Amino acid sequence: MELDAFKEELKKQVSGVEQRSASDITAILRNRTASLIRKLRQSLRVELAFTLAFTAVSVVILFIARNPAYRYFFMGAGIVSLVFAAFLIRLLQRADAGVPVKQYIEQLVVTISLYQRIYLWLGIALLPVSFVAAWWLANQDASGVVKQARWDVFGWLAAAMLAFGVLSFLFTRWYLRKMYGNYLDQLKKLVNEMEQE
Amino acid sequence: MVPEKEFVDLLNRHQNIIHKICHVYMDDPHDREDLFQEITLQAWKTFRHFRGDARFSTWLYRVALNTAITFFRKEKKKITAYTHQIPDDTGEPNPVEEQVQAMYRAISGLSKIDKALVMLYLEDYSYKEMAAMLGITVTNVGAKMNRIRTRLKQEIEKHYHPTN
Repeated sequence: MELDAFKEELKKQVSGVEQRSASDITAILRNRTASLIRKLRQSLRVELAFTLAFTAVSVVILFIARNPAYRYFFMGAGIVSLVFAAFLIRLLQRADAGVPVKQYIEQLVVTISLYQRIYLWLGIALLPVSFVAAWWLANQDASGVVKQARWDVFGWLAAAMLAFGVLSFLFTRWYLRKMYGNYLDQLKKLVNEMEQE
Repeated sequence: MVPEKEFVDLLNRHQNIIHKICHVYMDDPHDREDLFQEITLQAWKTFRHFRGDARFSTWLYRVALNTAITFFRKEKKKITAYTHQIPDDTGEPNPVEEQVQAMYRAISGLSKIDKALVMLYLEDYSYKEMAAMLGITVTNVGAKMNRIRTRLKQEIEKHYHPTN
């Protein structure tokens, strides 16, 4: 049997399939999708909610804190959160399923890769930055509210932070790989296949 | 017209597109049902981007193929046997049905991208339209279609043994 003959048979088979009524279709619209993209979007929304809440808290502290060290720290943290929130919103708006197949798969690959990279590196980079900023601000503080940081404990704190950073990096990398790694690999294979003649 | 009602009306009229894609991409009836729901939901979520400059059927094809191609499930432990059932066994061999089954079996062995090409070909889309829908060149479509035809022919010859 050639493809053309099969075409007719497929039409017959599909015409025998029970058709959905308009109310069945409307009921489906109330369901949730089971796709990995939905899960990704859902986690993005949760992260966005947390980020915006943290930004709001930072802004409140910025205005009510009397100590400049706190104010500078939360101002910096608020700005970083806002930038991260903007990035999350942009990611949420990606992936329109109405575009050509290759473009859609590439969109998914870029979105998931970007999400993995930012999630991993932003978390890791913010750890030493926050630590050094907090230390520096504590030492700059002249109001007496924050005690002058002691340099003899700096080494211990830095070592603990480094150990925590390494563990956190390894865990996050494993987690992201487990969540999205296989899916990403399969998507990349599809793009490669499409490019080959 | 309310967008939801407009969408449901349009989808209702073109639902055979989704059924066809579900038949080609999924062997198991439960998986087919899941894919049908997933495509319907993706189409609804993307409907706001549909500007009407393309035919609804073409747009729905794109959404359905994108969803079917990127719809991965965890591998089931059990070996899923080919489940496009042959209608009632009356004892009489039905050569056409056997060939259809052989063709289904051959298509189910194709990659997701190749299945998309077969689907579009079966829907009488030209190579140019197929290229636009998949986002690849017309030459690439031609090369892939030649390879698919050869592969399907070989697979059918390998597995189809007419019962006399």
